[in-house]
Amino acid sequence: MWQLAARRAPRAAEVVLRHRTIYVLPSRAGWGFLLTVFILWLLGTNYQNNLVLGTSFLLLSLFSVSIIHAFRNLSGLRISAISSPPVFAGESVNFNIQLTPAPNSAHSALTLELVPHSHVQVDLSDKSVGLISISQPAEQRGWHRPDRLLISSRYPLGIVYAWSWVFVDTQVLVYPRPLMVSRTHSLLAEGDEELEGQQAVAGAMDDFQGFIRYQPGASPAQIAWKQYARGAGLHLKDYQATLADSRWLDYEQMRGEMEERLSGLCHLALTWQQQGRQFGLRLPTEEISPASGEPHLQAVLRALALYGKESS
Amino acid sequence: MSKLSAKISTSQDAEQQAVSKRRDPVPRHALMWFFIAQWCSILPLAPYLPPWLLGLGVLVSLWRWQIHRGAWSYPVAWAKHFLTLLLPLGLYWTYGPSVAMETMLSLLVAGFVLKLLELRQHQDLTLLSYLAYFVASTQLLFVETLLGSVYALLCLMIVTATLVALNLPASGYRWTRVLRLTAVLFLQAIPIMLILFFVVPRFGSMWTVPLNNSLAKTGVSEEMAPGDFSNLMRSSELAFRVTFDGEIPAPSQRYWRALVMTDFDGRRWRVNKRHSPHSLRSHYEGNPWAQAIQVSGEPVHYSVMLEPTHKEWLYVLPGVQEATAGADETLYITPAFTLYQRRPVTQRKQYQVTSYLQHQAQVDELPAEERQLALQLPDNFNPRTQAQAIQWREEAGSDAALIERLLTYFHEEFRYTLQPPLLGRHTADEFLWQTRAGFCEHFSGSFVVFLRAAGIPARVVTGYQGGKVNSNEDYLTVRQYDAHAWSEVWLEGRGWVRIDPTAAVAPERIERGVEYSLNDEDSQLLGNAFARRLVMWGRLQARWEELNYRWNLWVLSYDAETQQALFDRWGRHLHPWQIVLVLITLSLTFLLLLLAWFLWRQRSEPLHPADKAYRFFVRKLLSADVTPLEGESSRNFCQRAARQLPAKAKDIHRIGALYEKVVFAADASALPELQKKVKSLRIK
Repeated sequence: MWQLAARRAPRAAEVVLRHRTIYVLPSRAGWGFLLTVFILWLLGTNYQNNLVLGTSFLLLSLFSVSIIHAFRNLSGLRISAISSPPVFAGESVNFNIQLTPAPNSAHSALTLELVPHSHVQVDLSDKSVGLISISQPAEQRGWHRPDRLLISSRYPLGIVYAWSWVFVDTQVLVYPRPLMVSRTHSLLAEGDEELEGQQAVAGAMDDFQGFIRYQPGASPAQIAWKQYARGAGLHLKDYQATLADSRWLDYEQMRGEMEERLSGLCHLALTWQQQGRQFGLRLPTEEISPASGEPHLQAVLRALALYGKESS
Repeated sequence: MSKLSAKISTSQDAEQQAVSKRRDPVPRHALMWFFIAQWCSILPLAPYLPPWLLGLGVLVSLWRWQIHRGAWSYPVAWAKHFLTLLLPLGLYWTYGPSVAMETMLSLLVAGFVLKLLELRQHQDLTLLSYLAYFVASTQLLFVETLLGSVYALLCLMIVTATLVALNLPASGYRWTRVLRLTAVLFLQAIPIMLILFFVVPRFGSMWTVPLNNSLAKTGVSEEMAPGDFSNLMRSSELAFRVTFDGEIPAPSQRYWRALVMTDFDGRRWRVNKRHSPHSLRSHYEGNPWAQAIQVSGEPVHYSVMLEPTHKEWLYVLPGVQEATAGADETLYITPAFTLYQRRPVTQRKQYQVTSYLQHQAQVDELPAEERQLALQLPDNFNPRTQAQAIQWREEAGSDAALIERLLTYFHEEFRYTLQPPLLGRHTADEFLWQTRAGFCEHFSGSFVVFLRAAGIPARVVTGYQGGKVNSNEDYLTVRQYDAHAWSEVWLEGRGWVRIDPTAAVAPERIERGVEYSLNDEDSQLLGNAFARRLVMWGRLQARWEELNYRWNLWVLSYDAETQQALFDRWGRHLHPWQIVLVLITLSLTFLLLLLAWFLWRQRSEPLHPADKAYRFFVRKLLSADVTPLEGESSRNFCQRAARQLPAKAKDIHRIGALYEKVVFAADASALPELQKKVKSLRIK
């Protein structure tokens, strides 16, 4: 069904719900309602009672009128994506979506659903613009687009289900999952001239910096067990070398699979950024010269996120 | 522009939401609406329900409310089973083993009420609302008046409001919003309902559940025992209305016969099996008994609208020749010239009759079995009347003379009262020779006993006499207090002759109506006596009844036949299904118009006249190749245009200034000049 809808409603940054994309059917409660109408009709027919018959006709008319209302409730609704902040893989992407009502129209009791992940309820009955944020888990790095968005409503009586599948053309960047590189996964390739004698890399037990939040993949030796026992939750003891010179995040110097390497680089970039260092990024396809600051970090993370992916 | 207020909603885990749903399954406002709907729809049924059921309902409602407040919890399983078991026992205790309408109704209401204890989720309230629709509709089986129907409509609206409230998010709930939406839905639904009402074909009934006796209204019954009629006469309830195709017969002609009673056991008069259609229905096909009446004079055509009586017999003027009541109902004329239908009249019913007021019934000969029925008297009852009758018969010389003498005796010695002294075993004896005070049932009963004792075939006829002509409409209203009993006597050469001994005692009863024949004390006994004496009130009542009459005529008695007649009038050459098609198209058109109206409302807001003028101005400049740039202000644009078209610079600047004045300084007075300037601007 939604494949057909996809053909009729191509992806666009802004979608207005129109008759071509709105579907209306009786809901389960609606079939019950129709059964009630039928039973009343039987009662009226059997007792030759025009008033009971009239009641069944009235309810039937109510049903047909509520079809129109259900359609009207979705019709003209403008759905547009607004930019959403990037996240790390393993977290949830939050798509920010703006719902603009049609002129002079209220859109009541709407449910937005990113099938099958999450749903949001919103009521634009006072003709105001609605801003919603709807999430979808992101396992992979790279660009993420929302799955099909289902906008539905049982307004006004719950007996008619009106819905529309919307394909909003928006994307959110998902950075690699930051993974702490443990000692056994030495960052340094052996015999690296440039870095020789500079032992200070992540995990080197030089200087106790403080506690950082636990991250999956950390070595048990790094876990702050004492704090954990006090009920403070899982934390890691963060030891860092205190070196101020610029460094390169070098893909080639990492070990493991591509995703592992990218995750490690991501983690390093975050920690170095935190320490205020200058660093550059060297990927087989791309190089970012050393710098520091938030925009630089984002450029680095973006490069990591998109490495090896078709740019889109 | 005004859409500054924005709301922000974020998604929750499905799991978290499920938890919150469990905490508060049914929104409070929807529950409140439902309570109102429930009690509004049960209320009119209360007279037909056992009181304990209503008590149970109140208890359960309170319980559910306490559950909602978090004070109490849902009943445990065994308590629910206990209640479910108790219920049939209670109903059995109240109604006994018979399954009648009232039992079904009580069962329905009981289920409706108890289901509240299982109201845990959103869907449960939806189901309960459907039940409420059903219960609200059943009141229409019992109350069919205009007022009752308006009340039922109100109930349906409140149930619908429950559904509306249930489907609005809590944040958007306002009771005015619920009411407005409900009203809008109903206003839009009613035109379609009317189309459906008049077009959807009608079918006959499929099964019947007998209505209990207590549901039956007061009215003439199969038996006549002393005191029966005085009860009837205390009621001012409507019995039936009649419209005549011509002049309304005089009051003394208006004898509405229903039952002919021949069997007498000393106390009660009963209808003989022979005169009711139960045993001999097949013999009545084609109404052979109508032919036993020799008619003369002008026929009277009239149409009776009978209130539900839950009895099979109908009311007609004497001398009935033809009677019809729609396609699916056959009416039978019995050997006693009364009219019956097959099923009890459970709905208001309309039927058409032709009667000949001048007629002679069974004039040639009285069949032997009829004669025997009309002479039967119980042994060992009324010895004095029997002796007196034989003596008077001998003294009179002829049947006619004997009747004359008896009526004279009635006229001179008897008193008409609704509070007669009580009678003992020999009712006729005591009434005729001792108390000499009573009303129609005493007069007609003892009259027949006396004549039978004298060997003259006679019988009691019951029904109504008289009725009031409505001053505005050409129709007659007959009420319960018009109930009457009179006699029929078979005379050689004349057939069955109606003799009303009450007329001999109180002629004004027949000529003007029962309220004129009584003294003040008796009048108090008549139904609604006070109201009938107040003129203003009487007029108001007449208006109201007229409205009700039209309601009955146009809405309640609309049936398959009327429908066919309507179709015939609208399109003589169309098949019924073609008409149905046309009207369904009409209702679809209505729906589409509604849709179009909604979509039309959704169009963009109209441009401000100043913007319209400015747009026109820009279009004019376009022809001179001055195109506005994206994001360019009107002032910049005008300056640029003026530079490009120096000849028109003054006008262009003026227009720019005027436009700014109207739009930014909100000075509407500059608008006409702006429009004029734009219009007169010539570029080439």
